[in-house]
Amino acid sequence: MKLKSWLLSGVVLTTASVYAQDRQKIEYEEYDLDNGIHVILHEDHSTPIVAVTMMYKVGSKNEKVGRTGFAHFFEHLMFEGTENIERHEYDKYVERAGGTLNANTSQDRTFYYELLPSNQLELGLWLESERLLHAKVENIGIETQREVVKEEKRQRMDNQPYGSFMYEIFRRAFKEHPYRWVPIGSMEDLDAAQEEDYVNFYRTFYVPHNVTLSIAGDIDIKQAKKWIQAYFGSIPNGDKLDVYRDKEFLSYEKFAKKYEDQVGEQASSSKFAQDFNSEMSTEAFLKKYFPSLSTKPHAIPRPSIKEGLLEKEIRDTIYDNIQLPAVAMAYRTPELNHEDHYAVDMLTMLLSQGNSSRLTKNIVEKQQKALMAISFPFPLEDPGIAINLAIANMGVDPAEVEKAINEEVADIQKNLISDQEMEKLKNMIESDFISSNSTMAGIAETLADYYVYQNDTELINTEIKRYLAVTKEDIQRVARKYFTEENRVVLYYLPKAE
Amino acid sequence: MKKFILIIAVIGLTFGSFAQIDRSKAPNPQPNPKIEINIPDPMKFENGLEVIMVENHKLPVVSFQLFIDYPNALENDKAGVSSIFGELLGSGTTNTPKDKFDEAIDYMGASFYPNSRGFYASSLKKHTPKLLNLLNEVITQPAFTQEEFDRIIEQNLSNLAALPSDANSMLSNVKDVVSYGESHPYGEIITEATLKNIKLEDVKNYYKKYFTPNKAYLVVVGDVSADDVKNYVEKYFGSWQPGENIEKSDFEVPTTTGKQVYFVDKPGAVQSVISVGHTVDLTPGHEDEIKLKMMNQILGGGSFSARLMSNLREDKAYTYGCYSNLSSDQLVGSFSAGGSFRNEVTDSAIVQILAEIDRMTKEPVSETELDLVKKSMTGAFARSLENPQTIARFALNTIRYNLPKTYYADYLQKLEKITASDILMVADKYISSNNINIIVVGNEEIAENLNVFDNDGNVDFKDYYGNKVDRLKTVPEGITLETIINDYAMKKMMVSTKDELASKIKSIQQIETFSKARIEAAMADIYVYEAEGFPNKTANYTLIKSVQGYSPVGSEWFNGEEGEAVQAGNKTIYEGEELEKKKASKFPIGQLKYLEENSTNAVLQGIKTIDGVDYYKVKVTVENKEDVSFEYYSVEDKVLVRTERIVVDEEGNEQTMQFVFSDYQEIGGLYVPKNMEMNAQGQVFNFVTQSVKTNKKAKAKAFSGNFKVAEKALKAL
Repeated sequence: MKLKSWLLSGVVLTTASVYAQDRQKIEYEEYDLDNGIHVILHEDHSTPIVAVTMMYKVGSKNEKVGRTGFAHFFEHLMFEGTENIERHEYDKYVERAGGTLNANTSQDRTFYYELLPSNQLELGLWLESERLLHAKVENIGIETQREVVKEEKRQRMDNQPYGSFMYEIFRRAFKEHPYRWVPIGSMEDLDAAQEEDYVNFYRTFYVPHNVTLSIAGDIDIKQAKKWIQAYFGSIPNGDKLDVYRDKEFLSYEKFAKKYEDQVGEQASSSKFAQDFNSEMSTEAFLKKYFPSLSTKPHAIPRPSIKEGLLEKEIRDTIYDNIQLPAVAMAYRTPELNHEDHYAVDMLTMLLSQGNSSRLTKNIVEKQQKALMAISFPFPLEDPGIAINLAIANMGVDPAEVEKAINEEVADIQKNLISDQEMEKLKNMIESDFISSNSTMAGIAETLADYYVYQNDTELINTEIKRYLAVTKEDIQRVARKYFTEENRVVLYYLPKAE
Repeated sequence: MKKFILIIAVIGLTFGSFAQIDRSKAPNPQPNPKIEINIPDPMKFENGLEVIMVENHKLPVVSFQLFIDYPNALENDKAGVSSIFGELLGSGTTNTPKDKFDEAIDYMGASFYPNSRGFYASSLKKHTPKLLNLLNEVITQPAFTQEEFDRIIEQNLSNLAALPSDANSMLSNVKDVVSYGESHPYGEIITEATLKNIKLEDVKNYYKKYFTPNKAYLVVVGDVSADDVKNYVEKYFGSWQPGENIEKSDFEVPTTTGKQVYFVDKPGAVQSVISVGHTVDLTPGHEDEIKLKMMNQILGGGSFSARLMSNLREDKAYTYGCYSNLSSDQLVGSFSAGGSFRNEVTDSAIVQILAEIDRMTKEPVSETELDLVKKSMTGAFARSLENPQTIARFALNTIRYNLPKTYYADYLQKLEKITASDILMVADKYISSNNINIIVVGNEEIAENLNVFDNDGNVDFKDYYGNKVDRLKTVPEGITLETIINDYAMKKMMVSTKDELASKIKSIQQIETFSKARIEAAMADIYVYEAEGFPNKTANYTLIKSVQGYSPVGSEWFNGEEGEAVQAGNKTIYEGEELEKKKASKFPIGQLKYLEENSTNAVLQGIKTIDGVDYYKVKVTVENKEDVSFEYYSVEDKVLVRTERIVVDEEGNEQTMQFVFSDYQEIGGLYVPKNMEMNAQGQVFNFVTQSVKTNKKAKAKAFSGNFKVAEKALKAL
C-alpha cells in the first residue's frame, strides 16, 4: 500500500514538471523600498504597453460597523485629485497619454491601475505616487461620489434580478467577521460617512507599508527602478507622513494649533507662518521645523475575529423582482492560504466547470430542473465561502432543484470520483494555468495578488503544483468536511407578488 | 572605480529622491513607441473557405473561429430558428453523442462555443488535432437529435420566462422593435409563440441551406505555422461540401420622425434604464466611420471625461455610468445613448442626454477635447494589439467588408487628420436629438413625467416584447370604488337608485344560477350550480357528465355562520381567516364587501382600454396573502366583465386564472352574463348560463350543504 502511494505521487510529480515546462516561466523582480512599499516588476517587450498597478491591502473587512461601503466609496474619491493634480484632471492625464485607468474594491483589497503606452511609464508612477502621498478630496467630490456610489449599488444590486444574493448570503454566513457585509455597503452607511472618516481612513490604510506596486510590460527594469525610487522612495512614512499631509491640507491656524507642542516657541513666530504659506517645499519645511520626525510605520489595524465553520444550517427566503425561483447554498470554507483551498476549488470545478460537469450535465441537461447551476469558491484572506447556485426552470419547484444539487454533493461525499474525472480536472487546470496571464494587466494583478494574499509571488509559476497535488481523496474529504448541512446557508429566491 | 561608484551612490542618497523630480508637474513621455501592424492575407481553399491565420507563439494555445457570412433573412413566425440552430450545433455529432462530446472537450481543458454562424474553439497546442477532429464532426455530421432539440427549446422557454426580471433584456427587445420594425431581421423578437413554432426539421433545413463553406471564414490564432494550418484545413475542413449561394435581400427600416417615448413597466424597479437613439445609415469602412467613432468617443465613449459621463455622472451624479454607442453595419447602423438612473432623475437624465446630443450637432468640439480624444483613441488602438485576436479581427473585417488592404495600417494617420469641423459635420449629418426614440424601462410611477418628451405628448407603453400596451387612464371625478360597486349591484338587480336596491333586496333574497360548459377534448360537460343568499350565504356545486355518466367534482357551502369546501374528495371546514372572509361576503354581489372594513382590500387603479373599450380596473388583495385579483368593470355598461386572479401557493408558485363575463342580458329577472369564459393556466372553459332563479327567502338547502335539489336540477338541464 505504501509503495503504491509513493509510486502514485511520483507520477504526479513527473506530470507536474511536464506541465510547468509547457509554459514559459514568468520572470519578475521584487523588492521593498525603505518606506515599506513592495515593488514587483515584470519585463515583456511584445507590445509597447505597460500596466502600472497599486494594490492596497484594505477592503470592506477593514470597515467599521456603521460605515459599511466606505473602502469602496473611498476608492471613488481617490480619483478626485491630489495636491498637484486638479479635480477632474487625474483621469485626463491618463487619457491624454493614450492610456486607460480604473480601480476596484473587494473585501480584502483595493486595486488601482493605469494601462499606458510604454513611453508613459513615468506618468503612471507620478500619478500613483501622488495618490499615495497626498490625495486631495473636496466636499463637492464627496457629495457627488456619494450619489454615484449609490447609483452603482442600485445598478449592480438593487435593480438586478438575484442581485442581492451575495449580500443576503454573506450577512447570514458570518456573524461577527466583517465579511458579514459586502463591499458596496448600505445606503444608510454611505449617507453617514463624515469628513473625519476620510481623513482617518487615508491616514490609517493609505500608507507605504500597506501597498504593493506591481508593474508589467515593455519596461527597462533599470530605468523603472530609478523612477520608482524617485517617485515612491521619496514618500515618507509614519509620523513624518502624517505631518507632511497635514502641512499640505490644514490651514495655517489648524496646523499651528495641532503641532504647537512639537514645534515649540517657533509655532508662534511670524517666520513660521511665513514659511508655512511660502513656496517652501513641504519637505524643506518639515526639515526645518520637524527635524527629527519618526518615519517608523504605524501599525495597521486588521480584524482579528476568527469565525469557525457554521454549526447549524441557516435557511431563509428572499422575495425579489424575478420570474424564476433560485436556490443559493453557501458553505463556509477555509481561507485562501489554507491547504484545503485547492481541493475546495477543484470540488467546485468538478461540480460546474464545463458541460460535462456534474451540475450542468445532470441537473441542467439530464433532469432539466435548472436553467443554470453553478458552483464557485469565494476564497478570501480570512475564511470565506463556496457557493452552489441554481435558477430553476419554469414550473420547477426550487425544493426539487435543491434536492438535486444535494444529491450531487452527496454522491461526491459517498463515492470517490473516477481516475478519468480526476484527470479531466487536472487537464482543465493545466489549460487554465497556461492560458492565463496573457495580458500585462493580468500579470501585474496576479503577481500582486500572490504577494498580498499569500506572501509568495512565485506562486504565479508554481501554484499549479499545489492543484496537481490534490488527490481524489482530498476532494472527497473536503466535500465531507465543508459541504455539510450544518455548515451552510440556504436561500430560496422567490418571485415577489405585485 | 569602485570608489567612484560609491560616491555616486552617496550623492544619490543625499540629494536623490526629492532633488530629481518635480512633483508639481506631470513628467514628459519618452519617445513614442512604434506601432506595427501586419494584416495577414487570407488563404482561399477549393470549397470556398477562406482562412486567416495569425501566428503568435507566446502561449502554446491555438484557437479556431469559424464565421459563416450568409446574408440575414427574416425568420417570421419562427423567429429564433437561427439561434436554436446555433445551440444545437453544440449538441454532439452522429459519431460523438453530446455527453461524449462534452466529456472530450472538457478532458482536453478545451473550450467550444457554437453559434448560429459557426463557433469559437480553443485548446492547448498539444490537443489541437483532437479538437479539430471534433470540429470536423460538428461541421459535417451534427447530431440534431429530437431529444436535444426539445431540451433546448424548453430551456429557451425558461429563459424567456425570466425575461421580465431583466431590465436590459426588456430594453433591448423594445429597442429592436421600434428601431428596425417587425419586417427587418434585426427587429424580430423571439417569443414563446415563435419558439413553439420551430421544429427540428427547420433546424436541419437551416443547416443545409446556410451552413456551407461558400462564404465562410476560418480564423486561426496562436502557436501555429502556415504549413500546420494548410494541413489542418485540408484534413479537417476539406470534406466540407459547398452549397447553393444565397441571395442578399434588402430590408426597410422605419424612419424616426420627431421624439417618440416608449415606456416598459418593470414593477419594483429602483432605476430607469434609458436608451435614446435611432438607426444610422452607415456601412463598415465608409469614409465617415472613423470621424463618427471619434464623435461618439467625445460624446459618450468609455472614458470618464466623455461628455455624457462627465455631465451625468461626474457633475450631476445621476448615474454610475452613461455612455453612447455608434455602430456601422452592412444592413443598417445604429446610434444610441443611455444608462441606468435612479427613478427621481429619469426625466432630468433624458434632458441632459438630449442636450448633449444636440450640442454635438450644433457646436464644434474644443481643440482640447479633440486633442485628448485623438490621443486616447490612438492609445486604445495600440493597447488592443496586445491581443492577437485583434489582428485576426482586422483581417476578417478587411475581407468581409472589402476594405482597402491598408485600412488598419492607415487608421492612426486618418485619426490624426480629423478636425473639429469634420466632427461637427458628421454629427449633424448622422445623429439627431429631434428625431429620436426614447425608450425607458422602469417603475410605472415615473411614466407620467415622460409625456413632455414625446412629440404628441403621450408615452407609448410597450410590453417587453415590444407590443403596444394600453395604459390606465385617470378616473373622472365623482367615480369611486363605491360608486362602481354600487352601480354593479344596482345593474344586476335591475334598479336605478340605492333606495330601490334596498327594497329590491327585501323581495329577492336568493339567487340560483345554473350553467354548463362543454369540454370537447374530454367529450364531457361540466354543470355548475351557484347560489347566493341574503345576507352572506353562498353555495356552489359542480358536476361532470362524461361517457361514464355523472360524477360530482366539488362543492362549497356557507350558511352565514359556518361552512365547508369539498374538492377532489378533500373536505376543508372554514375556519380562521377563511371563515372571516366568508362572513364578510355580501348579497347580491360579493364585491359589496370591498366597501367595508375587513381583510379584503380593493383599490380603484384607473381606466384601462382593452380593444377600444374602457374599463375601471380594481385591484383586490387579501391581508396576509400574496394572492391578487384584478377586476374590470365596464365604464359604459357598469357590470363586471373580467377578473384576473393570481394565486400563490405555499411554495410561492403563482397560478393565474382569468374569467371573462360577456353577453349580459336579462335572465330570470336579473341582469347577468350569458357567457363566462374561464382560463386556468391555459385551460379554457366556456360556461353558458342556462337559467337563473330568484326567491324571496334565502332558504336553499345548498346553503347548509345539501345539494340533492341542485343536483337534480343540473341533471335536468
